[in-house]
Amino acid sequence: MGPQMPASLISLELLADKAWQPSALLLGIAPGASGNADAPDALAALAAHPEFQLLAGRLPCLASAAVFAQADPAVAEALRSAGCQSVAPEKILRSDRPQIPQLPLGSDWTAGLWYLSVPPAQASGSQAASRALALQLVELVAQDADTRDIEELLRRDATLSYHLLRVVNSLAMGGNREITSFAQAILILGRQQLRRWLNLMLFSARAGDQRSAMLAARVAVRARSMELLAQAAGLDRADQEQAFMAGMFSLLGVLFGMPLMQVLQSLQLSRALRDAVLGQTGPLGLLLEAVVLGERADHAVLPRALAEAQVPVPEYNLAIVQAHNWMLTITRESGGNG
Amino acid sequence: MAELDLALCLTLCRQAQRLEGNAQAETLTRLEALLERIHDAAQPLAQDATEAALAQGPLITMDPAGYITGWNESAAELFGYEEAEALGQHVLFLYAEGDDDVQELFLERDTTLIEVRRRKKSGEVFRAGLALAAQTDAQGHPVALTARLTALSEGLSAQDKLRLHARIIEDSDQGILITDSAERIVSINAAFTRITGYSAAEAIGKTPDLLRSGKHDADFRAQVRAAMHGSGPWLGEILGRRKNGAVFPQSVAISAVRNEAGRITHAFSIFSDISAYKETEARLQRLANFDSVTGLPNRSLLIQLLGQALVVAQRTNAHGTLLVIGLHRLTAIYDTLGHDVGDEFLVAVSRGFREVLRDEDVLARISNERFVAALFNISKREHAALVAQKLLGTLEQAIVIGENEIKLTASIGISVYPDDSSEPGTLIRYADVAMTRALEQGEASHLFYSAQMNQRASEHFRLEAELRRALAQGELMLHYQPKVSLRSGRIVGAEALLRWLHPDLGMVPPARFIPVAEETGLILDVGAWVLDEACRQIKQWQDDKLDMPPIAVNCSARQFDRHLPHRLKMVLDRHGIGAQHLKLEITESLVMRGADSVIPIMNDLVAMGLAMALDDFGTGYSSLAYLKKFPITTLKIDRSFVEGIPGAENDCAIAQAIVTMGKQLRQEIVAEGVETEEQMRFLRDLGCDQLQGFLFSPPVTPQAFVAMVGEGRRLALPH
Repeated sequence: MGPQMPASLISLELLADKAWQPSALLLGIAPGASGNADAPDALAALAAHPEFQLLAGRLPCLASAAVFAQADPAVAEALRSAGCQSVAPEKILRSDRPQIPQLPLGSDWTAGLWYLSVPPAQASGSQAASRALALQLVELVAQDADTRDIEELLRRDATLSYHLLRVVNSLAMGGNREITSFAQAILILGRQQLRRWLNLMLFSARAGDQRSAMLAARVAVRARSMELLAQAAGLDRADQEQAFMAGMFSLLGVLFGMPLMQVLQSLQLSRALRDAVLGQTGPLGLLLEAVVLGERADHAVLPRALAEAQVPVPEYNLAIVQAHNWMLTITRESGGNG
Repeated sequence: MAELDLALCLTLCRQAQRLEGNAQAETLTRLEALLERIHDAAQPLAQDATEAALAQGPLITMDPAGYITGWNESAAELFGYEEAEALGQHVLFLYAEGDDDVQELFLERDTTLIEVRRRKKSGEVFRAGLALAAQTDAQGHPVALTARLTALSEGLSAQDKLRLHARIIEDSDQGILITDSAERIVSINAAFTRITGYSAAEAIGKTPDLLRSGKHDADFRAQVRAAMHGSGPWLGEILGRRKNGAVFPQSVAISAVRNEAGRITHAFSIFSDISAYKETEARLQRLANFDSVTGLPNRSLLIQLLGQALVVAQRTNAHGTLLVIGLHRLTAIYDTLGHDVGDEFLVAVSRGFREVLRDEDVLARISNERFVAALFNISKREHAALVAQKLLGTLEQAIVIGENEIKLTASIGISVYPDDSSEPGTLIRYADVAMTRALEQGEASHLFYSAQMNQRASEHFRLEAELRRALAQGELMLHYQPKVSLRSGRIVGAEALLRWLHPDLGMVPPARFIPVAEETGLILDVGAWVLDEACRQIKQWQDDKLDMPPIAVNCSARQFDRHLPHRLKMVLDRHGIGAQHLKLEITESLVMRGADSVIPIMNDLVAMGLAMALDDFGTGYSSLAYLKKFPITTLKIDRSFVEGIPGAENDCAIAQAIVTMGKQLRQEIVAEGVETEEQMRFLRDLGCDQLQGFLFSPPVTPQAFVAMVGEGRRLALPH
């Protein structure tokens, strides 16, 4: 077995800088079964884990002085050299209010759920796609790339993914079949129609609003976490794909500023996915519940949800760290959310 | 119109400036054609009229994602769709398919001008100029798209077109008949009368049954009639009957004609008399004694030559031998490198063979991958073995064709006359049997025919007959081997495995009858039975309200043709089950058959919602980079590697490589044939997702499988 993630729950919160770009992570660590006594071991395991080292090396990983105080001096040093830093509370502004936060002097980062409550700049069901991504896709399709490469790129953007499934459904090309994977949707549409559709999407594509970057990052982390947790729970590849879609589509309501039920109406999704996204029921719903609890760092209820979904805590920790790494990879490759 | 055309000219100019070579020449040609058209149409009056027309011309408004929100009268007139039909649809539904020649031009400006092809409700495709513009809000965000369209003239007036079409129909060499919606003939041309003998007066008002030969069954006739009723164009050969009673073969194209509203008003059939062609074809076949690729004698000439040689041999008591040379994996070369390279390669191979033979020996090519060397006069059997080795030796060096270095191996089977037989056909067959046996012994080997071989061959025949009976009498059954998750230990699927309960022999192992089925083509029937039975079982479980995991079915290379998606859809529909309940397992050798032939079929299957797994992974030569092209989601590590785990270093390394690379492609990794706890631990630590094997369960009956799932049986996982 490779290096193990800690057995105590960790939480990662994405922080925005003054230009509302994801720029740091706030690390939290839950008290273990025997209170704070587990924290030193947990931090040691985390500091030694290559996946975490990779993440902290790419994005500053902040932790309160209290967290650092729990670590042995050697571990604290290891955390620092991996890219972690101790942060004073006043450096972080916390805002859950529905308005674009403006950082006061002396603060460097914004935490909180502001980007989930701010309505989109343009309240409309037919949100335009990210221009950068649509352009990349047009290029890929022009090069006659493999379906797999197109799928990988499409997975990075919720708006494009949503529109693809919707257009396949609208053209009744699926013969009223449920669409269970992006590859299926791409193949149903066919290359020629895909190219035309992308051209059209490109035409109306636009730069994002101030909440776009944070929102896109959250969508990516949630979708990928869902996929990895489904894998950790022993669900098969088809279910993992559905889990990814559930994570991604669960945020479409926020993204479009519309009730989620209404957004999903124009998609032909499987029962399992719909149940998960709308009611957090079924096996995928269990996972979604766990992911959402984790996002809120609700460490009181999360252990029960993970137990129910049959995901061990170290596997959960690994999944969220990997999901953040994936998010960084795709946002950096796409050149931001422009 | 003029404005649109000018904008298009400008676009073409700019495009031409960016392009080079042929692409530039093409764009300039298009520009020239467009300018000529503008020049021709440059009459002041006409221009005013077009401008006025554009102002009230077809206008479509869309939301930024392309869904139609506005549709004016002119748009309804142009396309034939009423406003209510068009609103809410995605604009792609107006696009014509299968035409990539028309480039869509994109400008980084507010307005984009595109030359496109669009489809009317009637199905008619037309060329249109399309001006696309985005409306933006105060912040500059697109809120809507508008499209203004004009039909671009095809260069012919409607009247000219009618006259031209009438002329073409009348003067055509091919017989043409047009029927109305009641299937009565309403029009024919001169060639119709010349071919069938019926005059217009005799034919009009009758149905096409007039020409019925009575040689086709109801199914076939139903297909033809379906085409007349709009199921899509039909192309094929039909036997017809002339007025004088003579039956004649005709090559026919049938299609339906729709009106503006999309309703079928007529059907037409265009046919030519191909009896002369058929006769020539037959004569050519008789005449053709030589293989067209290598120029060597073919099978029929070989048999003639052999016949003569055997007559001489009887008189002179001479001995001779026949060597059948079977090339391995020739199809793979054709599939991957193309026909030209494949043909050139074969010529080179035959030249090599020729060089090691004596002048009086005959070299022939009797089928795609089989050559025969006939040595008409030899004194010792050993000489034949020597020649066989020389022939195989010519293949030891790779053959260079262009940039490709191609190497393949062969097996040789040898029969001797008069010892084995004195009949040409039998001698070839015996040598063939020996060649097949040699192949089993390994590549690049040769074997002499022996009587036991024939015994084996006749056992094959017996088995084949019995297998046919087994299919008909329900002796075949499916057993299910569970797949369990290496994360949760739960059952996540099963592979359906074929079992044959023979009334006398008991259970016949698949290893004994599957090769026979493969060889005889019976595998198609067996494969169809397996699919049908698996779907029936899945449906049964659903009816019994059992929550069962998806079932994987093996699909042989022979089954994997372009009709497979359709056949599968029929089976799924017949049983009323969704595609997500079924998985297909295919072998690596099938993938190796070549991307071009296999990927379109796989894509169709995935579009239907089927998931595909690659069986026996690691045994072939396919690299993961190659694999990436295929829409496969699961890799099964072959049991032969699992066997050596964790003892054999090599097997462990291969398993590790498969898992690591498979993960990069987001493949699900399943290990087959897992029998021990140690194997399981090792594979789990590697990151394998699932296992299948005796450690958890052998293949079991459907009842036992249901019980296992029902009681939630799990694999005990180490902590």
